[in-house]
Amino acid sequence: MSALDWTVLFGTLGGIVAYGLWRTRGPTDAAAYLHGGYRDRWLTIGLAVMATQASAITFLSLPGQAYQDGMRFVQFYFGLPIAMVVLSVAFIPRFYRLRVQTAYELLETRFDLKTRQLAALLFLLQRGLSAGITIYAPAIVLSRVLGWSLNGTSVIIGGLVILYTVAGGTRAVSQTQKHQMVVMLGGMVVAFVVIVHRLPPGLSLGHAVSLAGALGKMNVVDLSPDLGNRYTLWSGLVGGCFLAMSYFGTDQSQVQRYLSGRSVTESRLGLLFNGLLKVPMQALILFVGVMVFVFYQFNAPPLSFNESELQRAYRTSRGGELRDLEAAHRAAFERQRVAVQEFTAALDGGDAAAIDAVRTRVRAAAAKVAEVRGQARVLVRQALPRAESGDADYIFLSFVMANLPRGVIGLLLAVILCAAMSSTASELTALGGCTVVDFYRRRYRPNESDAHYVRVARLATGAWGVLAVVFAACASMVDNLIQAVNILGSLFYGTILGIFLAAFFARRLRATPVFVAALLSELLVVALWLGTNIGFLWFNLIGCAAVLLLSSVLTASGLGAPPAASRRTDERNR
Amino acid sequence: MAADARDGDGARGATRGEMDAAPPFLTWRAIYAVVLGALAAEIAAGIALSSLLS
Repeated sequence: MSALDWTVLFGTLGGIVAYGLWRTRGPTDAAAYLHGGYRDRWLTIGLAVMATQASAITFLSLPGQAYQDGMRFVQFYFGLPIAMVVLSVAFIPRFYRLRVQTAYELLETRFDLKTRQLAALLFLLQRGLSAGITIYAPAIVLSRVLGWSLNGTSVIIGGLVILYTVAGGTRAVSQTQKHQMVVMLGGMVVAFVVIVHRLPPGLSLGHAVSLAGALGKMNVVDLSPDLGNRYTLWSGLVGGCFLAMSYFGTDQSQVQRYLSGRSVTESRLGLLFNGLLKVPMQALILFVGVMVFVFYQFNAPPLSFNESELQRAYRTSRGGELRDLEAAHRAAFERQRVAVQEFTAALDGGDAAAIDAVRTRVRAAAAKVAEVRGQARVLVRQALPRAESGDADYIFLSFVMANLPRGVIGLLLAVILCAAMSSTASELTALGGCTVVDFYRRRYRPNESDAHYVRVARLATGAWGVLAVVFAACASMVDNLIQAVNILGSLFYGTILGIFLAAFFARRLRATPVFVAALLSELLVVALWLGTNIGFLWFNLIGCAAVLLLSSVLTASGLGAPPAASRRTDERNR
Repeated sequence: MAADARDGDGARGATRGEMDAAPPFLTWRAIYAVVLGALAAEIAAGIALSSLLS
């Protein structure tokens, strides 16, 4: 990397963090440390909510996802705006009315302590594991740029985020996130402009989109009703809505963001701002990936974008076979390049019949290239059984490092690291806050001083950070990071959402039936995940519906009902 | 901590009137309609792109 890139990278990161720490300097009380002091305006909340969700994985993995699978992942976000409206109407007023500090506190008011702590535990479990993946993702970036070991880089990045989060708490997180989000949005717009500029001269944006469409990458909406299909309009609207309701309504890393608002109005507007911008923002990031794909129709891509594993595989006994595949890949790519040039020429000619004829040839040539790349992936896996054979998460970074101009490389690395810092910081403060508020203070030490809780919150935040770094060391076992995070969330969120919906909308349901139903529903979701091929977004709906259904049946069967004598006394007293 | 954290701001424990207060520029219903209308337009554009380009 050039000196200009390093200057842009560290100037951006250092400037934002220094600003955040300067804005929150001075002694910190528990309210400010854990909840930001309840001072934020809607724009700060909206940007912080977006920055919390947009992790480094978003910028590393999403363009790679689009490169391999097209635009269809955008459907995953279609349920989000609906969820933002539901949360604004139904969740935020209840959180404010009950004056809660964590989402789970509300469950004790409605049900009992064990239900509150079950929901909090499920959050700690899934968010603690996800935090590992959000640290691992930027570690890929720096280990590649600096040539360090991946695990060593995870430790260094995790350590820096822990220091910054432990020092600043929630207030510093909110203050830095809005600037980090501006860098992320600006950086992706710059990336898009530069990538389009790097396409071959004479290839208009319209032709680039047509070419991407011919090769199946503009599959934005899929109307098929197949439950096994991960991304369709229906799974996005229904499953995505339930996932978003659960994530934004019951995950403390998000609830903490909008409960830091100065009023209900500010919190609602912050969430709705997210609802308005999220789909276009994700579509832009995916479209950047599609444009990278178009770029590599004219410029030979490597056999695998995960070059370090590819080089290791060359040094094994299967290296000869891999070299043969490399030659086959070059030949297949050349045939594809010819077909692509014929296709763009046909587009220029405007003859529909000619375009259709060439489109078939382009697709056949692209299928051959994909087949050779698939064979290479299998071969790498056979040569190095413990290695990461997938390369989706490396595509965008490889492209950036090899093809973008000086300065822009530094800016895009800053985007990725801003995203990593913002999401990890939210996760760690929420994990620390939940540990203190829902467990430590509630169960063990309810009457300590303000300074004591700040000290314990710092310790808890730091401990969760260390645990996240340990989980990060295991994250290389997953093939696609963004899918891994969302699958992990979907395994837990449906159950948690079911508990909250039971609390809000089913007054006759009792605490013990809801608690037992939540445990059974979680087992059901995990069993379905292990034993079926149902698309993961549906687990959000299944977990939620199972909690509501089972708790209704268990309540009707009399589980957890007070003894008959006590019921008669209650009735007389009414 | 509980007391100072919760009572340090007037918005905590907001009354129904405060919670129903609309922002100065539009009613809540109009804001919800804008958010959901934008989603409908994005889905329609996605369907059109998918059918035109595939």
